[in-house]
Amino acid sequence: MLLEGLSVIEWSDDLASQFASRLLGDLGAQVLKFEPPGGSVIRKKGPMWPGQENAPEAGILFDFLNAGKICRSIDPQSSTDVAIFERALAGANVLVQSGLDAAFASGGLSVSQLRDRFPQLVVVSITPFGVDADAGQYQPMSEFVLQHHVGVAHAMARPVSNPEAQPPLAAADHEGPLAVGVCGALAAAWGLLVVQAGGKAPQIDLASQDFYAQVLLDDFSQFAQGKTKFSRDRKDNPNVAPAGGISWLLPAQDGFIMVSPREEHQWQRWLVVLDHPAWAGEAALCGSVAIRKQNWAKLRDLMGEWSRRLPAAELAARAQKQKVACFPVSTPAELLKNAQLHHRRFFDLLVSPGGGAVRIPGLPFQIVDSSGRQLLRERVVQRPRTEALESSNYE
Amino acid sequence: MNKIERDLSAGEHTPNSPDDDKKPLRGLRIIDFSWVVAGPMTTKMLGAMGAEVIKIESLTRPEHKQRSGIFRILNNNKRSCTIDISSAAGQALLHRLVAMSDIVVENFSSSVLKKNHLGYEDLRQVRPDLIFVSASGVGRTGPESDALAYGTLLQAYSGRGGLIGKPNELIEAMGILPIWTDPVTAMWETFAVLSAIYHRRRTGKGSFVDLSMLEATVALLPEALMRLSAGVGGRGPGGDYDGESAPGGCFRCSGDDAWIGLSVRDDAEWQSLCQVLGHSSLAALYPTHQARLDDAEAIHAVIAAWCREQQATAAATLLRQAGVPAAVTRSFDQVFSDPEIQRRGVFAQLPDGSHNYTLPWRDADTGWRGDLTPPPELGADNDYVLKQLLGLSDQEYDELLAPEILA
Repeated sequence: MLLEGLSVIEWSDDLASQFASRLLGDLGAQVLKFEPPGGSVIRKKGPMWPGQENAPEAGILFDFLNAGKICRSIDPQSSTDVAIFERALAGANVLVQSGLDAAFASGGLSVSQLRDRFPQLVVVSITPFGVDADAGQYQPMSEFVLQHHVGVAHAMARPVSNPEAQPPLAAADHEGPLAVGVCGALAAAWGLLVVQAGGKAPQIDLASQDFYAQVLLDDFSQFAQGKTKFSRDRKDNPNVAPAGGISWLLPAQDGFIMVSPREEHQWQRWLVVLDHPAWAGEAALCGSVAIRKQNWAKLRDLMGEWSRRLPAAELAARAQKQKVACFPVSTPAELLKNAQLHHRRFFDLLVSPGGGAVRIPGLPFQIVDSSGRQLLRERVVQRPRTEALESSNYE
Repeated sequence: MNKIERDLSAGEHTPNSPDDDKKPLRGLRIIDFSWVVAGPMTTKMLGAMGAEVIKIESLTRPEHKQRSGIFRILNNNKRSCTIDISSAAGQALLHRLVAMSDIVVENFSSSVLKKNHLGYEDLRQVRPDLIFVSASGVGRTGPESDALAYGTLLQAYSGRGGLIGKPNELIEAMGILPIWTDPVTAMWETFAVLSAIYHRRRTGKGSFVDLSMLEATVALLPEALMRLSAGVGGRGPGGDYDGESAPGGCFRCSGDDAWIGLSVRDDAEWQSLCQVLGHSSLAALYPTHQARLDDAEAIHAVIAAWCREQQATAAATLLRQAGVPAAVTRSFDQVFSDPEIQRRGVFAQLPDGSHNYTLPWRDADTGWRGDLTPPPELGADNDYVLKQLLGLSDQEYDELLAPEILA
């Protein structure tokens, strides 16, 4: 609703770009996705819809990334198709692109030419290293490898007790490229505001590499304070462990909880939750934050003896009742049943090829404008619709 | 005067600066009650785009006195004003300030602003087209809306920890240490604010945004949820697996904690890998993706044995030259000093010699990456806010000091 009336054109073959334009669509823009003959490579990325494994039109991930979009296939070698693409751009506000220059090179089309021809167009270019980078320097590159290259994998498995046996790890699921996609959407919104204020429509140069380097806030903060070597070994990181008297991960009857009675008053209330165990009065064990940091492992074991007798949800509820920050460590199955998420109608329903519905993550905010108009939640979203060129309304 | 003109004429800015057209939030004023990471990161970005950000702080809260460490990289582009929000006089000042402002950003516990008459319903009375952003751990509605939350705990609650590694009581190798939920929330939050500004400039309408950090994190984990919901099973990417390679993963090289990440996504990359490994016969033994998945353990052992004898940089270079995606697992100090990161201005040096991060994207034409001014000292802008903006006389100002309203 916030971006109603805007037109977004997409030419891309990566998750971040496709998610960025999807988000602009979620806020009301109309998104027209152009694909090369045969379709985006993301279409073939698993998992496939049940029953469509052998002849997939598109997998579930593609449908999630492109829900609500209209898709059209064009041949960059065809002057007729290129002309159609250009006519669509003539009425558009935003172009989200990756790989356009390479795909259209033989047809004589480039981002630079498009910007000259359509000066109203905000161009969002999302690439691994930036539009001005030496494209060959780190090629070939996969998303997984990129996260190793830019420090994400190093940070996700730091600190560890045994670096030899605990390798660096990539981020969860597709959260890396999708976070870049959120950044692409916000950068597009910035570009739209520039145009709205009378400025020249910008080309946004968003490099995943830059995003990942900046998102490592803890590391940069320590670097800015003079730290020059970033070891993963726990013994070299005495003050950065999330455990260590500030937070604990404790076993529960049916999983785990994380709890953080980090301030003294929180610790006192946490002891209420624990029902004042005998050791709670031992000042040398837990009499202050500093002492608890020293004895975090022993306290973890003592608290674990108690916590493993109760379900995680019960533990979290008891702690929160005492105003102590505590949550279960969720599994995906638990998330799909999570009462808080359901109450807030967080999940959208993606209509499957068979007419059923699959729960997909929705937007993380509720928005209501001052006239009372609300962003819809728990939406039923349609798979992207593929249109033939002839039936287009966008020319 | 239309909405944009009014916005652009309302605040302080230097006219005709060469980058003015890159700062479409010039003229907008933000009252920033946020603290910790996500909110300050959001308002830093909005300040970089030209908004005037006034951080409302307290001299009596110890956390507001802590201005070293991560504070210094999150609170650029802001002014600081100390006002006691729990006093009636402080609330009255803030109502007057909001009346001449455009956006309020907050991330207090659930009832703090409401009980101090500074909630959205109170403030929209003085500024009907206000954009009010309320960010919280799990959202402002629902059975857990009063829950106390921290980012690290939400990283566990969101399920991402278990998708990176195995939950363990040492909290190791499960992605809990690096702050993730907060910066990701800041991206969503800034997207929502900018879209709301666009909407206001077109329609004159303000917005209330209720943002959940839990949802901001779960929103980026679609595959794990969709696999379950669609009943297709299997494992998506995360941690040591990228969801598409066979083989792929992280391999130990020679040297202190030296590793490379490697992906083999198709048959051509597989054949190239086998050549580099000196095991060309393997290519024919496992000609398909599925065959390689079926015998992944044996294939990984071959790669691991080769990597163990290689220097990481040399191995990654050799693999890439052969057409196999590979890179050294770098630590932050190596990333920071990367000439490409430096060239692109990902981090900038301030006049005091300190480094700070810029906007995550650059303007392709000029390389502009947003304004970047040093963080304010606590209460440094009390005079500006109270005298210049609100028009208080010296006597009125002094009268606020005595009962510690400016505290």
